[in-house]
Amino acid sequence: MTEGHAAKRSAVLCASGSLGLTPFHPESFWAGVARRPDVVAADAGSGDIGPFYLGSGHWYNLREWEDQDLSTMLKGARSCGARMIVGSAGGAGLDQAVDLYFELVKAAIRRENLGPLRVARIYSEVTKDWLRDHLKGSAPLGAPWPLTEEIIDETSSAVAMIGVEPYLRALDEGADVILAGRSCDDVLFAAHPIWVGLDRGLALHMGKCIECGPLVATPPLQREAVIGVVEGDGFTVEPLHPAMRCTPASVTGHTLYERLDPYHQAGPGGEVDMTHVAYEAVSDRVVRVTGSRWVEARDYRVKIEGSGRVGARKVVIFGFRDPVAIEHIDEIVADIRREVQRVVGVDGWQLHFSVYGRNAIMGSRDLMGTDTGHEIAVLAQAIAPDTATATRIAKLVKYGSLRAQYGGKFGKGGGAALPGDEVLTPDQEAYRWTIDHLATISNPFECCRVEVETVN
Amino acid sequence: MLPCGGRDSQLSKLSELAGGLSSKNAGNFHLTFDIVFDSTKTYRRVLDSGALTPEAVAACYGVDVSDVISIIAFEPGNAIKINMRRRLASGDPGETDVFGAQQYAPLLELEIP
Repeated sequence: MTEGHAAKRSAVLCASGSLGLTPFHPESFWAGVARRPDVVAADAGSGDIGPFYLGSGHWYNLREWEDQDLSTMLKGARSCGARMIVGSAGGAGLDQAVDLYFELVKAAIRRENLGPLRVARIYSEVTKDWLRDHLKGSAPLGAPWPLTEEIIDETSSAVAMIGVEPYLRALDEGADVILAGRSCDDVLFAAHPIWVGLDRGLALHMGKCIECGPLVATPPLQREAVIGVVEGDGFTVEPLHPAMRCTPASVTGHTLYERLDPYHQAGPGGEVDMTHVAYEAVSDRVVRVTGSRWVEARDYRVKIEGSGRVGARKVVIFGFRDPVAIEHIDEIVADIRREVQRVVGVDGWQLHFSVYGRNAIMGSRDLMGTDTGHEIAVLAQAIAPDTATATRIAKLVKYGSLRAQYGGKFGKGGGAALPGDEVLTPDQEAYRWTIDHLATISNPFECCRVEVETVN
Repeated sequence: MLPCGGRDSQLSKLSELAGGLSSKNAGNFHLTFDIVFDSTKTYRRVLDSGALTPEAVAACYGVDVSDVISIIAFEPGNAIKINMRRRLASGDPGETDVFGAQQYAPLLELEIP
């Protein structure tokens, strides 16, 4: 660690709560650059986007917006001599997204004449063989099933959520830019502070605070920049849009966000203990946090995310305004399902009906009973191993909704109201989370590889 | 009468007491509900009422009490966190709320003495 203990301060600018999702606002970003941060960083991914992108390799974001965000970050970083760090490339953090970001950054370096720059790529996709080798020592994290050979066979793609060590290695190797695959959100912001010798617990907690950008502040204006500074025995968080403020309540509130335990944040190699954290207003828009503590674990465990294909998907949306039809919606849906069974057979496919206007959003967890609005919509999702079968099912649903038979009545002309006489074809096939487990590894580099090269 | 609703005038609805109430995925298999209060006094009142139990939360959703994983008091934030298993893993076939963003609605009606 070349800079070692010389620097006792590290300022990290978060450009966007989600790189490339929609373009970030340049004004607050450049206001942040004017603070001369050590790092300009952004997280590009999340498990929130569901299993589809990981499993299928479809692109989550528009390439033009990813290009725009990456180019602006690069220009900002170079204008103040900061490093640039991006994690969980492309949403799911697949290797192909790291490659794409590398191409975009290389093009920007050449276009803007910013070279030579040392660019690190960190890949963290894991193969089926890797997963089989790590069955022993694996444990369920969120998934309620054990990791087995069968689950691995059903998995289309998997990634490891890396810890801070691969980022530290990239910094050791002189990286000006780091583009990484699936990573724990906090580590890409914590990497530089840890690298210069600041406290790991504080650095990771700071990372957790700023990884979603504006969400740590109030009001949480979207796509605005936020800066976190680790110094001495604490860190500060500050939004860069003049209408936004960080208050002890906003920062404390964000500590709860998206996690089960507000006092402990587990990660590869240990956890951040936030039991004795204090949040103090430095001004009406800056908060200083102290007391976060890193507790090392005995084993080094990383989260593995895996997604497997369920089948092709087709969609039909139909609606009813007739109160008698609305009253008999369950009968209508059952009638449609029977007709699908008659034609396609009783198994090997799935058909999900969600009745909007009644309980589509919560399903069986909605206890409002059969209360409905004066009109309803039904979303029917047909899933089958192949597109032809999914199409057959969807066409049966569409026709079935039209000839809807209910309460002894036949809809004479049309039956359901269709937004169009067609089966909808989303570009999403159906995927599911197969792996949401911890794998024990003997060293942090066992699940990833770091490659650094000079781009002229 | 619904499991969470009622007409007793001595009771307040959680929606009347909480400054913020939200739901969100916590990982791909869990939901987390954050109930944030504007004052320590209200936070204390709700916590001390003993009304926020796993049984009461399970009743709001018609789920087994074992689906309610934990209820955590977070004093630094005047907040109470409720963790629950998801009905489906996020994005599973049949998903209609991939972020878990609207799952808090039944808690709004929960009655606090």
